[in-house]
Amino acid sequence: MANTYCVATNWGKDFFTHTDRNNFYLSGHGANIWVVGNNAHGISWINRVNGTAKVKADAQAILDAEVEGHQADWDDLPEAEKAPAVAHNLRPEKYTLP
Amino acid sequence: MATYKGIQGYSVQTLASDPTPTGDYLGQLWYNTTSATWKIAIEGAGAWASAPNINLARSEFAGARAGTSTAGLIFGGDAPPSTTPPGYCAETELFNGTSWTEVADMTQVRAAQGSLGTQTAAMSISGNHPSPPNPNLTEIYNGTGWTEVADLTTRRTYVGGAGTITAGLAASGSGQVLNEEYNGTAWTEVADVTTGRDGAGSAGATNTAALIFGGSPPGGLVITEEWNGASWTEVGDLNSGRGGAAVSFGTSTSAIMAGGHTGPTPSRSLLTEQYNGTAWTEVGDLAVGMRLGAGGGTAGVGNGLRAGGHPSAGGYSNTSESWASPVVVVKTVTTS
Repeated sequence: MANTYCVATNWGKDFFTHTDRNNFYLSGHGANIWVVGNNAHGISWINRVNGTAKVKADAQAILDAEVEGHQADWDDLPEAEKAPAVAHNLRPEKYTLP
Repeated sequence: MATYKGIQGYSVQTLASDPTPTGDYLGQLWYNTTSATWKIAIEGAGAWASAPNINLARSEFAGARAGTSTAGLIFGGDAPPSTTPPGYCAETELFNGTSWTEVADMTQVRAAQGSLGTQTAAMSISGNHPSPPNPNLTEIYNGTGWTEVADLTTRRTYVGGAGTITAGLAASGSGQVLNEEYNGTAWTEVADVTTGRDGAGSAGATNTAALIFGGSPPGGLVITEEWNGASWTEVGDLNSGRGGAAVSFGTSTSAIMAGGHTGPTPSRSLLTEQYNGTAWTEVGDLAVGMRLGAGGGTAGVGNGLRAGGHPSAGGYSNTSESWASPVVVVKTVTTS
């Protein structure tokens, strides 16, 4: 398994460092979901940031719910702000975590 | 059996711990006796690290493109509906290397503007403004407050800014090919860019040496053009076409473009590419896919800052990341 998953809140400086980024894969997503390279450095980082481990299906479900919330916010916008559809203001779409 | 030293005339060094990787160690190989592993010092890809959060989450704003990772300035933009007041804002925040602090507001709320300059000499150029309509507005920040100066000749959004507050450039924007120079007093239209675009990345220390790259229309342009003060020339393409970057900065010979949207869908990119005067190379990814953020920095052997924007799942971000250019890192050699 190349990646592992957790929920952790980004507190800002030193949440992840330049060294971390050179040591393992890391990508952040909605609802504080983090996709973490599954090696010793990555696991150590999850512990360091007090991350709550998730299996991929659970992480995906949390993200999907977050996207659905933003889709509802977008749907509530005045029509003038939604049309014409431009790249700068498109309706959020669900996507699959790596 | 012959030893390595017997064949080569020297031994591979053994060390109890890895040295602090610096340029002096680049390419060196050693055996770590503590971990019983072979180690080598190589050049890393450059990396983004988390930095302090900004105070007001926002997107479609602007920043001092020539800032650094310890001296940033961001201003204006579109704030979440949950903020008071929601929508376009005038808030300006300054980063001192430790935290973001709110400083003097812009004279008018504004989003999707162009920008250039440093933390103490920055410019906000045109953009979107709800009312009253003065969409061509240009303002300068002097380290203390904002002052309105001469309007851009033709209103545009997401102008590609470069240069300084006394020698600025406002290239393309709103899909137009227009290009204007600022001399510290007034804007003058000069030679058009070849490809009009919206949300392009830009870089340049002066108004006579600049780059514009990527941008919309949807699908994400790869085209890069270089300005020499008289005309635009197409140079090496981005590897991945993107518009609405999370941040772009640098000079005409050394630039960074990070994030953006990659197509007509609301996708956000993690990709960072670095330009060396000839070609773009992919370097370390952003941690969070982002578009329409802002920041600034120096490319090459340099550093930078990205703040805010629209993250992949939607909504508005208050996060920031600091960029460090490729450095020497220690890797374990896989043996069999």
